Amino acid sequence: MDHDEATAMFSAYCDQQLGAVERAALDEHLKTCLVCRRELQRFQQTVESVGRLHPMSAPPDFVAGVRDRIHKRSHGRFFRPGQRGRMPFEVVSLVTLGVVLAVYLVVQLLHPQLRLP
Amino acid sequence: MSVSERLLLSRLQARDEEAFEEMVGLYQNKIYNLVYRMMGNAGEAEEVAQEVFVTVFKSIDSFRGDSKLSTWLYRIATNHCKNRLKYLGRRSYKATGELDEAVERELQDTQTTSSMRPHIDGPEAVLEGLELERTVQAGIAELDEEHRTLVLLRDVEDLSYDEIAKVTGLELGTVKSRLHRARLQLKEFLARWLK
Repeated sequence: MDHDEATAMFSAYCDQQLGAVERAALDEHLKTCLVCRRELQRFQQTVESVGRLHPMSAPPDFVAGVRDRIHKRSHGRFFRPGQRGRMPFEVVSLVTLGVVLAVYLVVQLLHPQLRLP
Repeated sequence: MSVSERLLLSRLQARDEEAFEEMVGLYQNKIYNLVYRMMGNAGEAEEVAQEVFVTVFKSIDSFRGDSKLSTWLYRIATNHCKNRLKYLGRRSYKATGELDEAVERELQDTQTTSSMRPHIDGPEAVLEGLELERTVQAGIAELDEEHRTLVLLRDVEDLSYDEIAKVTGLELGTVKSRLHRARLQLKEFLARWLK
């Protein structure tokens, strides 16, 4: 393996995407190649330094800002009136099924002689 | 897509305002952070990030849930950044990597807890951490828009190669090779900082 072949594997090495054979070949090369060892170290430091950038947070009024834009552009018609607090259909279905099942089980417990036709 | 995401999506498609606020609240920092790093400017970042969520609501009916909601959001965000950078490029704008004053203040305040903080304590360490932050941001700004996107999606947002391919529409092999080239370019830029 030469320097170029080794360098081409650095990204996959950092992301742990190298296969066992390729990994062993690179490790073998690194044992004897000081230049590639140093370059790999710098490559890893580069990747790590990007990953450690301070995570920027959206400004505090961000959500309100987006909502205002949508209201303004749609002249207040984007959101369906009366949607606030409305339960989605899927939730209503699940809750109804749960209630029916619970009633059925209670009836079965209290009157075991009753059976569905 | 998880069950909770599907429920959220159905509420969004029903134009439920509460669901909208929930979704923006969930993803605002991820999208803002990505857009800030792409644009290199807090004012532009806020403008573009807000437009990302406006687009989400314009297009919510066409989203079928074939991918994760976050993947779709990242795709919209990177497209918005690309278009905005192209527009600004025609007006000689360039992401310089200079940190805004407000951002510098936020960084100084958080240096004591930031993972970017060097291991040595004291004002020198804080300055060194700030300088490194500036340098890395400047290095990212030097990358072309596509390379910048790949580095940020992988090394900041921690997306897998597969997810990056879905966000960018690139082939998996192309993602790998271009990401590698981008990191090599960044390594050269950061050379004086790397021991």
